[in-house]
Amino acid sequence: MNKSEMNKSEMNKSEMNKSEIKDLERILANEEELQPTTGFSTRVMRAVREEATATPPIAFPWARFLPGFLLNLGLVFGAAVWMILEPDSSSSLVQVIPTEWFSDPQVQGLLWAALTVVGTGAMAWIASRWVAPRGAASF
Amino acid sequence: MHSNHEDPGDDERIVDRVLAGDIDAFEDIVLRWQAPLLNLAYRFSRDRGLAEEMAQEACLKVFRSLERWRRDAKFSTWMFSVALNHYRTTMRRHIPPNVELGELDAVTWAGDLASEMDAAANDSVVRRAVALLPPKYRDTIVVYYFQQQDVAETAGMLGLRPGTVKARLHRARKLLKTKLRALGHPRAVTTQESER
Repeated sequence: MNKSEMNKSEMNKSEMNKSEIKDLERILANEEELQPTTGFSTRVMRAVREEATATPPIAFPWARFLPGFLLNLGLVFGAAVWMILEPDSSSSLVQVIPTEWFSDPQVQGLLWAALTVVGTGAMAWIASRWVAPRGAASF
Repeated sequence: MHSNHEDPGDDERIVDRVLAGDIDAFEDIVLRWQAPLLNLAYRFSRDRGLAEEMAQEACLKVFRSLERWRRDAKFSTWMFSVALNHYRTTMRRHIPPNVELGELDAVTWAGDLASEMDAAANDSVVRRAVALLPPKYRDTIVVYYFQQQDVAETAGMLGLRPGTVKARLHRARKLLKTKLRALGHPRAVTTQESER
């Protein structure tokens, strides 16, 4: 038997002949039909009604998120460009605030405390103004 | 399987009612299609309990996506394709990909099998062999026989071209024969002997 005959023989072994296809069709086309258990539709409809009456999920507040996000992105990008174009700019930024202030630890502590209070206040204000529902307590 | 159902226009009318806010009308859809949905799920899972869970979840998914039915296909074709997607996803979680048919049937097939097996057991092995085919062949062969060997309907449900369905059916039968022969299934053994 030459190679092509052997390949043909191998192929025939994996091919289904007509009687096998018929057999397969008999088996797969004549499956016993199952009937749903009693209460199938009741269970589905209960889930459907729950779904229909459920409060829709809160949509992500893109309108509020995007302006702030884009502003921050712009600031970061701007800062990066500025630092690349003016490598010494970081020292000039510090010089805006008198350096002798930082030498006193008490002033340093006060500055940090003030920064924390202002930051927390700003956060609380933003949260109450932009996020809290109407009528909720606000600062 | 499901071709004995009434006018497809009924489905459309019911869907219109549901979309207009009559949620209870969806029960008519459930009652009409619960048995075919369950039977299709069973052909994938071969587990009655799991099939029922899958069919219930499929009904819910159909309800959720009713607005997306574009009406360019029959409601039943669209509904079965929604169900089919759910069944495929579920089966990916339930059947370990490395399960070998031989492992599953080791007990049944041990010893002088040809004499022990009756026709029903043979049929069961063939059906399980189908369930263990690679997903794209399994889906095609399951849907094709579920749709009473209608290539166009099968193609519609699977989102394939009829030619692709025919090619997959051909390949699926070849794979099936190889699997059955590996198990020493009487049908495959007989064929081998007759070829000698």
